[in-house]
Amino acid sequence: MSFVSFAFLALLALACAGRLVLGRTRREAVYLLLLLASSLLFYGWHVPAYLAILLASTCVDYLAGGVIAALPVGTPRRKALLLLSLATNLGLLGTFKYFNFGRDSLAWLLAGLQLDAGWLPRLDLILPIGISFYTFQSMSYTIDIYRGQLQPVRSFWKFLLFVSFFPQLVAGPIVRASEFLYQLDRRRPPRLGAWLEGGYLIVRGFFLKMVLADNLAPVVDRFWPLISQPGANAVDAVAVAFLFSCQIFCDFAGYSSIARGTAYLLGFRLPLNFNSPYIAGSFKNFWQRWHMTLSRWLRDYLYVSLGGNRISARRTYANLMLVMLLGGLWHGAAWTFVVWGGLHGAALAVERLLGLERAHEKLKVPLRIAWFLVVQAVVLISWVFFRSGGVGEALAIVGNFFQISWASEYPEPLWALTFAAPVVMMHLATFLKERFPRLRDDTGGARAMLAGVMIYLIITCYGTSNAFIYFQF
Amino acid sequence: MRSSISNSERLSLWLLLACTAGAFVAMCALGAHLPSDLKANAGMWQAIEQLGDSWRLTYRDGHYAFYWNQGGFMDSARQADVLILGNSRTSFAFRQEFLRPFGERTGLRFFDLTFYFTEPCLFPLKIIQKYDLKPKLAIINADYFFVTKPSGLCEIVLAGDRVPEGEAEGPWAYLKYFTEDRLADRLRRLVHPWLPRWEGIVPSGPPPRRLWRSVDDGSWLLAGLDFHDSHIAVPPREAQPPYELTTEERQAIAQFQAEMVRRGTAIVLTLVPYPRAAWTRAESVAEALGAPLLTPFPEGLSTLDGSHFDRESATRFTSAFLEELTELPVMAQIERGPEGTGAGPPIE
Repeated sequence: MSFVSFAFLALLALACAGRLVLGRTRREAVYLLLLLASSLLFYGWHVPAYLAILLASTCVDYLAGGVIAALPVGTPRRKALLLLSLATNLGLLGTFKYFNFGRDSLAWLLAGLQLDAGWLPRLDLILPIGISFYTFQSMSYTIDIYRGQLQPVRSFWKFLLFVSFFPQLVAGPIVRASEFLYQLDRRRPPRLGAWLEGGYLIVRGFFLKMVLADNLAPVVDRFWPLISQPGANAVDAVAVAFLFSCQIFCDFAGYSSIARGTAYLLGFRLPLNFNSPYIAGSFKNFWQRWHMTLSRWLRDYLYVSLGGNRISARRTYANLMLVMLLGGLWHGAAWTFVVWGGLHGAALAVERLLGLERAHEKLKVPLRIAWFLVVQAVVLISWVFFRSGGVGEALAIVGNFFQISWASEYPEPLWALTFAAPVVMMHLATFLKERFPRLRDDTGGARAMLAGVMIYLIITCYGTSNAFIYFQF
Repeated sequence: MRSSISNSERLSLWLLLACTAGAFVAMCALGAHLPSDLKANAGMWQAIEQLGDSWRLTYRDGHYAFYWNQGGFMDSARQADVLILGNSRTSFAFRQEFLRPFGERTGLRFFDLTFYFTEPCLFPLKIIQKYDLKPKLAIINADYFFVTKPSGLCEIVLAGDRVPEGEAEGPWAYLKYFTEDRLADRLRRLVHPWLPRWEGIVPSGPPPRRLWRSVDDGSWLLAGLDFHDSHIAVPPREAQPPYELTTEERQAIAQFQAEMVRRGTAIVLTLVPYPRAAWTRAESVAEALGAPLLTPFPEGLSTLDGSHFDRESATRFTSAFLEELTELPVMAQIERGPEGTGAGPPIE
């Protein structure tokens, strides 16, 4: 079920009504069951068979978590059960998402060695929506229990609700069990402040998605093939790449904003997932602002497990690269995503080598600006790989970045910068608030007026595209 | 929101709502004063709002709706005495509002089975066969109609695709899909007469194509084009060299003709004038079909976009066409029998 649909509005209205009615009568258990039913309905709305995969992952992790917690620390069975949980989740992910990618890559390799690849099987499977998100979320539960950082939840239904909670199920934020499970046992009287905050976040999310992302998408789709052609100049190539960087931010941040706002209305708090990433003054800072829950997951469960930065410098750089390569691959089964991740990994490693991770805090202003420009340029170039259909196309576009010409052949992308302007203003506002703390106190009135403006624009300037980019992950 | 809200909280809530509403109203006032060419024509939405329930928003020019009878289009087509076949130029030329008086006089019911762009004869033929349509007469715009290669959309629909853009199959899938679509359409009809959608901010081509069609007679209402206010003159007919039909065209003609004979449907050809009209090609098609070709060309015809007649030109073209049509022997032979089932005369 898409957020931009009447079905979602109906579901949300039902869930909110349940909160208002059941919350007043303090029937929390009934309310949680209503949320669970709503979540399962949300996920199975288009393809009910997806529920089987979700349930498989959930059942294995619930059982594994319970047994791991019951066993003494150091017992080999604890590790075996953890590995079972990881194998199940990664196995599901690998089968549905990466099998054909691996098969095609191997076939390409065999063809290069003049060997027959026709015997390699190909699976005809549809990628279950959101599988990359809920498998990671579910794995965090068993890993935290194994590490002794979390107690298992007794109720299977509560655990299923944690995994399937509909505001964040299909495109994040990736919520940890320790951040969510305790909220289930809390009483949730509806609070005016939370509803206003939730309402604002929802309006903001729909504005980012329906007005900005959906208007940028057709322009990017139309001109992307053109900027990879020989002879496309730098102005056009950079403009379209910049539009895509705004599109993907608005699409993803918009979804996360709707998710957080919806959760607020339902009495839950979800973690922040985006914090104006395009003002990041370093690569490390970029990943502290972009898809924060994924980068946090990768840091805590992969990077730290590999040794983090407590080992040799060489191993640390290798770990950074590996984590970011896998992070790139998480986004999609294609080499372009691997390259995207690799670029970020290399950038992080180089930045660490140069001691510039905190450049935005420690350096003098001219050097901060210089490193900021380097960071944003690399981020922009990496987005070219993220969006392109193949590495060749991406390299052609990046090559056209250097076809210096001040004349644009295509005026439309420059017109489309109108929809990128609010993104720039939002980032500028965040920068100023972080720089000048006195500006942080948002008056409710200012936000309310901004909400009125956004509602008007949602009604009159909605775009024609509709799909969320991150649904494909 | 708590079981008891304090007065200050209540006041804050009202003030915040007032701020939101005030900003919204201010934007509406601002929007009303900004250039009108950036906004979708409010008159268009007012017209669409008045269409009523027998008009449905169709996707991809009605291919899905017609082939799968989504909404009951084919139930009306079965009752029709005259099918109009061809491309969008045909539909803009033969508007039902101008055909209806003729239909009332003669007792004939028309149904518009045209498709946007150029959908050759295979697709309408498949529809005619699938729903066993037996009109007395088929009026065909010969403008690239008798071509064997169908459009890509036709192939997709004929292969079994029921819902555009890869949605899941099955009755539940299109119930969801079309319910969402109908609700969105109703919401737009309700809102946009008052708050027009801004469509000209990025001049990247035409606005999204939205096409409403009447379930009763297949009429079109195309958002955007139907409300253009331009009049581009159609140049006079030029002399053209004779046209030799290709083997594929002859195959298409023979296949179509055989089916129409089997159904007892008479054929009348026309060619709606536009700058690139292939007159001699139409003449060759008529000769191969053995069907009359009516090509009225009143003076001063004009189009909305260089291709599709404006309303005034459509009125005059239809009037001239119907005048010529009534003089054909075939019209005298079409009896007013049971609707849609009367046997047509042999093709002359």
